[in-house]
Amino acid sequence: MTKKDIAFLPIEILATKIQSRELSPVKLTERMLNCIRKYDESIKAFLFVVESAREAAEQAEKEIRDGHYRGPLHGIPIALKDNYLTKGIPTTAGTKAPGILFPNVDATTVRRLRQAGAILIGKTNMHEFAWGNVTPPTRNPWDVNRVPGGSSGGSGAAVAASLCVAALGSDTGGSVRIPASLCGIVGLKATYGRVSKNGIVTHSWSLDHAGTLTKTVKDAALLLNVLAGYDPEDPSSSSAPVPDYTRSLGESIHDLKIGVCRNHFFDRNDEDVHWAVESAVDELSKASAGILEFNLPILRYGLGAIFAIELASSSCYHEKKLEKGLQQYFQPDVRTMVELGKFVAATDYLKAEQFRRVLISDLRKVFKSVDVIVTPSTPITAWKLDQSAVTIGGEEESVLAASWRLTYPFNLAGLPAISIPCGFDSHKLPIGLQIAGKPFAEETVLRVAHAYESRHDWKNRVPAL
Amino acid sequence: MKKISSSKLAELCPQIFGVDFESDRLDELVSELTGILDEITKLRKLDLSDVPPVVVFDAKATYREGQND
Repeated sequence: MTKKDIAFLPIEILATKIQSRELSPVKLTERMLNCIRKYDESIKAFLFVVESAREAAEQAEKEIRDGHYRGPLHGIPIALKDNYLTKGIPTTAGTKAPGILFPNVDATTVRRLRQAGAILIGKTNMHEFAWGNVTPPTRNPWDVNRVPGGSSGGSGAAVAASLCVAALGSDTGGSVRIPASLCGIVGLKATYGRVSKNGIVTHSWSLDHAGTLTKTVKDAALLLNVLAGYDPEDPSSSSAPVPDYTRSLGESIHDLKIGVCRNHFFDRNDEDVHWAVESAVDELSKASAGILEFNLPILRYGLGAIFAIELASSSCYHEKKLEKGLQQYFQPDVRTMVELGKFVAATDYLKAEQFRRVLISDLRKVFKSVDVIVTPSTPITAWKLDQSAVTIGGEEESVLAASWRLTYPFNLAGLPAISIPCGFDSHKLPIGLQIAGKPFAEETVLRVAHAYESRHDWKNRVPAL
Repeated sequence: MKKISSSKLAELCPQIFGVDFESDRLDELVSELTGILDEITKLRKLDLSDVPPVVVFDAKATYREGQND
């Protein structure tokens, strides 16, 4: 692939070419299918490739030719994490356990993509039942000896390797933002309730968020324009009005105050990550109304809270499988997590839900003085496939514990958060910058992310495959 | 204090947890649970007696969801 290859282009450019009929959706889809055939043997991002995508692209091409252009996703090849239910395309949620079948229907988000004219090109690998940050067997396109992150690692690797234009993922403790950070792309999870979860295989009801993995911030906004909105099939869905999320992209951020939480998020990060993020903070400080530094001491209790909620919820969801002994067919790490949830006391679960109210209240106080909070996305960059521990600041910890430390607080609080590239470490691996906002302030989060992205060429860097 | 053995706990598991665990598997799980319990123990130390959980019962929610039924 050369850098001028259409496979590298984001939705924001491809859509214009498709609308003006300069580019054929069939040609674009065939190019993507060829890229998958050629490169996915080493990346292993896809679990299922929709070979009939060409027919859907032909249909899109005909509609556009006949003057029925549906919008920026029309004719764009998009991949789905394999926990999104899809009619006519198998769903496994990453499990090979026998006897576990999922309905042959479209998730609400999948239905919205189809209605917008997107071409569903395949289902991507995921950590089994979205329980983990590694996503075997998928490899990181920047170094195939390293993990892509997870649990939406297949979606992250597929976008980074330009095997699809964009992908959907899900995020319970960071599962969209972690692979985005490790793969050098953009990962967005909107406010809890903003995007329907109906038809996404459950992991943990009150923590799960749908999310997008894209090449640019504008692409994330274009996808959110289609995905956001009330869904009566999702009890947590919000009826808050949906704005045009591209509207304020490109506007100055001089009127916005940037918050930097100095404890927890900056306690223990890899040195390259630390300096890349400090540099980004410095830059944002100059472009905005300034920085406000603060501490959130309550965060020291966050890990216990998310463990209690996530473990108990997952065990409850899988209870019938546990009764039948099906967990013996799960991957060992996933089996352990699902079984451990049985040992979470009801009082600890409720305490965790009490904790969330305090965390949300403390964040609300902070958001009276700032518009967004900026942090690193992950304390480390992509780790090696066989690596289980990392030493940061002289302290050893498991890579799994480190990798979600900076993302899960925004799942507990249900806030919108995005990861965007902000540099590379000494191993030439991408570093992620996380920007979080108030509930339903996706426009502000995207505006700040876009302002930072526009000042750099990180989005134009692609891994050599 | 008399401690319960893994084999005794394994016998009680179906009643307590609704799942069968072999005693060897229970030992493995207890070992995995240690780090997690450290974090949950920290959480238990918070006094949140007067803080309602963030998930609040709403008697009308299901009626709203089913309004088109």
